[in-house]
Amino acid sequence: MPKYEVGLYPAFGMDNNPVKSSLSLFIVPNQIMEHTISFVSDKLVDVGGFFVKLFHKPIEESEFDALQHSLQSLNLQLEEERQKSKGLEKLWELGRNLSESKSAFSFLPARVIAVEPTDWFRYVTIDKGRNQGIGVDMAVITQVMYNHPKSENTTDLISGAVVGKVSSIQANTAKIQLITDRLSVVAVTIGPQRDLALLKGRPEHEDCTIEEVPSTKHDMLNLGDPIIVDDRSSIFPSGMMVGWITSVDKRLQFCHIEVKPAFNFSRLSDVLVILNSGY
Amino acid sequence: MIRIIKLVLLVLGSVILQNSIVAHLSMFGSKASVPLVLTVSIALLKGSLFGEVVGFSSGLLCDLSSGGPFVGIQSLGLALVGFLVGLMRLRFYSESIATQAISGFSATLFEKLISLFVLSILLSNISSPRIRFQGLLLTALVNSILTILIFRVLKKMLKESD
Repeated sequence: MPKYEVGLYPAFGMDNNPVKSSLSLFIVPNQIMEHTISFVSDKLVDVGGFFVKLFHKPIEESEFDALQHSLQSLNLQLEEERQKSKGLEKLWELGRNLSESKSAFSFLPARVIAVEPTDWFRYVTIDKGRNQGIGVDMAVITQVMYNHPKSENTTDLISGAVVGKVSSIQANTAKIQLITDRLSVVAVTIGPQRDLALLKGRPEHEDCTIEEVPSTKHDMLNLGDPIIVDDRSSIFPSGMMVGWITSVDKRLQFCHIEVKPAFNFSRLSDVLVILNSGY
Repeated sequence: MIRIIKLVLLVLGSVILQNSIVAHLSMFGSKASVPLVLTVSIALLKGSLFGEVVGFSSGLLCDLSSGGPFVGIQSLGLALVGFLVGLMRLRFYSESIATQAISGFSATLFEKLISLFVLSILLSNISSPRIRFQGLLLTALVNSILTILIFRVLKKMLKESD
């Protein structure tokens, strides 16, 4: 039964009071009109609302969209920061591992802020200097950036890669000579007999070479063999990873060995400086 | 005065660009050289004197920002490049694209050879410097293209101050 019919009952003889009856005669048509008007106006509002929604978003919906967009961009930024911090996490983990295994050393993280502008040398500049405790000839390391070709041989190696040494310092910056610089020399161990050899940089190929290994040792050297820092090195911690053999060329008296560094120069951004290393 | 300020800013900008962005873009061990391109363009526009001064100053800034043990190799090379390219301006039509490209290409080869020669003398007992042929060619090509582009930009910039 329609709603407005409820109001009609008192008007048709349910109450015998003449005043009320006379009032009800006046009120009922009024009620009917009111109900009709409200019914019609409700319908009109619905129709109007339909057209409003069609051509114009409600304020709440547009605010919701804006919030959603800003949330999406914040999520993207968060993902970016997560990726960046992955590299830092690995570096911190490396520092922790080394602190446990090499408790005599202390480490200072630094960021690479500039690289060598010329073709002839290989240096990078870091954002720490004399004021932060950096000294000349301190060793600089980073995490290993390549998968070892012979993974079964790395279990006894420390998971850090030698980058170079501090060559000059200023108040808040320092220059690092990379192991791929032509004037860089690192004392390394090579072969199963752990012979001492000198690793020199080859900047035009972004790698290193070893020249003074006697050619009689040629058969003992294999591609993918790790090159690690020798105990007799006065700058770098012994046993630290330098790179892997990528080529062995037997010549008259000596072998020409090419070594790929364990770090990627183009992706070098964060390093650890070993504070109590060097002379 | 304005022209000098513009040149100073250009030199500084080229060195900053070389140290920051271009230094990461290595091709077979060689990099493009923004200071060299600037020197060649200025020399073609303004002559030997300007080319020499711009070459020397930008080369010196590169040497000072480099970690290498020697200061002056780049400044020598770029000063010579600026001087010789400025002389070419009197004989060849500098507005031609071919002149600009050939200037950039040959200036790169010349500067690398000069640096190689000087370093060979300085490092004769330690390590003989080398350069890869592919790197040299690619760098020379890139520099020649950059010379064409930067020449046009500089021509507008320096013409306004004139």
